[in-house]
Amino acid sequence: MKKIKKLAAFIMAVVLLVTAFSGCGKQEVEQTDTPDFVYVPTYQKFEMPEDVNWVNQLQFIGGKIFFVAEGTAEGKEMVYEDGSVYKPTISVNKLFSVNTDGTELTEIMTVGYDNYWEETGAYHEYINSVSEGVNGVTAIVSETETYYDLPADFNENTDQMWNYERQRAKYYFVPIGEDGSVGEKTLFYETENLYEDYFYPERCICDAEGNWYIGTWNQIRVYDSAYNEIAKIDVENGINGLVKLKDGSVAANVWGSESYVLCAVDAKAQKLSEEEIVLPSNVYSANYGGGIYDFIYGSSNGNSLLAYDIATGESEKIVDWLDSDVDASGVYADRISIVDEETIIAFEEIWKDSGTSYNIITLKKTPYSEIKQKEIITLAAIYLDYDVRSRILEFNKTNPDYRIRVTDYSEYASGEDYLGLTKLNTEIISGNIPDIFITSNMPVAKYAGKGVFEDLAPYIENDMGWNSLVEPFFKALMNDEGKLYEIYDSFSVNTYMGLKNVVGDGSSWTFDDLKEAFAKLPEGATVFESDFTKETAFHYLFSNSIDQFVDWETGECRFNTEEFIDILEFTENFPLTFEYTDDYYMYNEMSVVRLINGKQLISRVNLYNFSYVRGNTFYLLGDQTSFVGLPTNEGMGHTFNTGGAGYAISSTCKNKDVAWDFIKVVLTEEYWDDKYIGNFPTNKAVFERMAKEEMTPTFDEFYEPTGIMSGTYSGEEVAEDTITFPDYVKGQVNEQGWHEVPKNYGYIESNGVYYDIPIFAMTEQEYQEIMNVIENTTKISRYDDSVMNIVNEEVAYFFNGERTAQQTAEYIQSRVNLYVNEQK
Amino acid sequence: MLGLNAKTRDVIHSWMFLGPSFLGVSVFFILPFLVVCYYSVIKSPLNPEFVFLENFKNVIGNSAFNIAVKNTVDFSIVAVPLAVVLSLGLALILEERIPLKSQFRTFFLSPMMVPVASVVLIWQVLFHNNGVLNEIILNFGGEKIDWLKSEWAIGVIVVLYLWKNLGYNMILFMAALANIPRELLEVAEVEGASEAYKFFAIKLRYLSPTVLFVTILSMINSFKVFREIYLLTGEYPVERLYMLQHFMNNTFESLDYQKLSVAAVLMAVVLVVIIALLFRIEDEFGKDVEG
Repeated sequence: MKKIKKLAAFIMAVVLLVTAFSGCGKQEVEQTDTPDFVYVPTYQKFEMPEDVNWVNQLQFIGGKIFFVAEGTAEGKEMVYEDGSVYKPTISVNKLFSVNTDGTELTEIMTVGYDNYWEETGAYHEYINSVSEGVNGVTAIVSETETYYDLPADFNENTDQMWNYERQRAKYYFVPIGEDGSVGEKTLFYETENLYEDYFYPERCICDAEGNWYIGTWNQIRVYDSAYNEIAKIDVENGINGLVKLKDGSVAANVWGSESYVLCAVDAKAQKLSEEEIVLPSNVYSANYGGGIYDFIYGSSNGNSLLAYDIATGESEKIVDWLDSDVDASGVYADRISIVDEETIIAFEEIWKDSGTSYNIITLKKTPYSEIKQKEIITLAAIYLDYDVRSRILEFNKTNPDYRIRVTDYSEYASGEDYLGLTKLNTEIISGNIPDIFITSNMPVAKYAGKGVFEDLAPYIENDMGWNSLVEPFFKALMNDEGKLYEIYDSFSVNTYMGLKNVVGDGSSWTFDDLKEAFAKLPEGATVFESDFTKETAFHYLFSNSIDQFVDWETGECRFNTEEFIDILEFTENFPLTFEYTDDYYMYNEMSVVRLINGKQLISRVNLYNFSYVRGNTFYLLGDQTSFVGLPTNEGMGHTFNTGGAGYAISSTCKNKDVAWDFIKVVLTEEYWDDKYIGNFPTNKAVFERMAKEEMTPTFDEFYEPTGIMSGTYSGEEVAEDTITFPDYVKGQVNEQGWHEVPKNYGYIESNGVYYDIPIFAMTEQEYQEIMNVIENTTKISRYDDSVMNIVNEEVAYFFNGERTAQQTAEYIQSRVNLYVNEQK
Repeated sequence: MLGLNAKTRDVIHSWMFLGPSFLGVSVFFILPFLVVCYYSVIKSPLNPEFVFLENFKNVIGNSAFNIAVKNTVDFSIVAVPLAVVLSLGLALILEERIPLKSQFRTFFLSPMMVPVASVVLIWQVLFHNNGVLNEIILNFGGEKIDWLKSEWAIGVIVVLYLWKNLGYNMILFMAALANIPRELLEVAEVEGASEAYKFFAIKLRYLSPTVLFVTILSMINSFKVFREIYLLTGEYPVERLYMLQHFMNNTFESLDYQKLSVAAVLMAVVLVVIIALLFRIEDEFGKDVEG
């Protein structure tokens, strides 16, 4: 018995040891720095015919690319009553084929509008799709005709014709021969009222047996190889798409009980299979996997191409577009052909201001060791944006010695951590710190406080110098010690404006000034826009002055003071909720009109270029314009918004100069070549060029000044102007007597009347007013989330009347005090 | 094992059985604690410059840390003795022949079976500003009390702590009471000893190891009350409810590993001292019964 006990104890000890060690050798998901292989691209530039505007549909079929493109053509000749002849340009659909090496571009078929201008209706032909079948290629072509089903008692004086507009449609299968010949079309569906039937087949798929599957939004129709209808399946929850699977069967992507699922289409039983394959949440569109994978799809952040295996329920990353130096924004998952396990062909469409370009990319699977090795610079991002991605691709393609490798941490996001920050934090703490950070969505202050970021101020001083930048923005970005941890390509300014005779000239604008000015407005006036509630009003009044109540250096909080309680009590002037009615949208006066009419104290303005702000301020308020910002005891109440992506370098980066060379581009003049300027650029030369262009008038011999034009949406005449525009700026007339052409148009609405206001070249005074705001802005529109969360949580009780302002202030003081002191 | 003497074989056997536990404790407790000790004396994980006691000075001078220490000590001083005394009292009562004894035992044990999330939910329903308790007070013409934010907050948490822990402590005491030699109590009965004498001179002496164990357990649980406070009031409760684990949890969230490590080291040192002291007291108090 004793021996048995000993033996049992020994076995248990062995089991324990084995258990303890079992974790040691476990193969985890491989986290190597370098991939095993990379798909290396070869680009074949593809010249699209000139009359093609864009590609609608594209399929790789039998070593060729078939695509439907939207183009233009000369329409039917029209003769007007006066005998003049007009040939309109009409939209057409063209079906092309081209070899995957870009040769032998063949126009197979062209269909388009006809009789478009006749009042009786419009006739339209359209190529809906092109697909590979068992016996060749087939296109779906539709004919639609718009007509008016007018009742017998129709009266054109009391009724509108378009109320009876209908559309009849016919859909055909059109076989395409190997030589590109178009076969005889076969009608497979027709309707007299397309608006009710809603039959818009966007994709046609052929299974291994030669049956054709056509999906609309809620119905799947199946036709045999002779184009006879063999099944009609209604799908109650709607169809997200059809996909041909590895085994040649066709499945429908439909909404299951909780998520999107794949269900096999059973044509014989005329129903979808009961068995549901739950799709990963990021599968928006499942595409044919070339018979190698069940289906392929693009990752939600657009960085990779993944393949799904139904048997294991696992997704596999096939291509990392950045590793392959391919700009994924121009490659869609439904324009990719998996040729074999080593080769992928993709069709790339890059849209730029200068025009659209097309490439056929052949990607060959290559072991990583066979690729030219470069030193790696790691870059961390959360949802990499298009602009940064393009810049990385450009860097990787052109730099002979270094390569940027991206980790988009959004791939590690989960329900609780929707940005994937946990993974990034863990890597930072473990010393595995990326070299470059794209700071958008990242806790910049937290990382900066822990010494993660490099101070970029010395780099600017030693490289381009502060004079080449719009300095006030960067000064505002710096911390109290003058350290700059991130840079941006552009900025805008948030401020508030009012009438000078009401709010003063903006040299001082404290909360007491605001209260005093508000008290002078007539009964019923509001401080902010009329839809401001207690919550929004408090947010704006408080968020700009957090530093007034928190001393981050000493850890002292002053929420239990009269100043804070005053702000809380002032929110009594606002409603708890605001109901947006139809009347509000129809007749709401725009803020600027309310300012003019004395109904509102201040109105929010976002200064992001020279044109917009003038249309909404100077041209309306004239020299009464006063940019006061939000009330504050320190400086001015304007704040900068950052524009574009933020760039930072880690303090542990080994190649700081290379990293700086990559990020500093956003501060240069060249960066803005061939690039739309949405906000004020941070590069001073570009900023000044923008101002100069805005200040330079353009004249036109034939331009007739219109002045401010007003009208109503209902077509009624404007009874009388509800707004008096002070000192409206008129355009200039040059020496030749030509009138100045407006740079832009301002637009406002008031009581159902709209006004189009021509905006002419910027005056020196206007320029100085805008510069005055920019130069006096010292803060970034950013606040501490933790403080804001605590405060918002507590003030909600006050707004609901459950606590006094005093109690609320005490609770906030107690809680924020802990937070602030923790940070010391 | 051939050729080895009995003593060596014994040592090898011992280590074979101790091995798994020793390995587990080393990997999951000792090594991480050594890493924490290392973090507490360097500048930051990014800049591992040795700063010796600089981090300790910063943390000891940090007012949030001091508030957390004060609140944790206050809570433990009140809650731990109450948890020991009340559970012992309950055990003594349930030891007697009283009606519904088994039902009472189940009642006191039931909080152990309720998941923390549910406990917190119940407490929120009871003590929220618009909760059941305030509704009752309002019905009787009183004024609402914001239980979890007012001065009452710590009281609410003490009640929650006791409710959650009394049952288990009580079972431990009941088991210990059952192990006291009956003959000793019978002799005392025959000798005419009072109930108080029997309790202090016999029962308490035999219970002293259990009292020590329950005290240590209660103290550990008093630190763990953070979990309930966190679920009830979030990362930053009002000052009275801010515990040491809030400080540690929040500094972890803000990647301030130095403060977190220093707080952990200080807490470990204090706990070791307290537990050593308790062992010493127990040694003194129970030496004649264990001897």
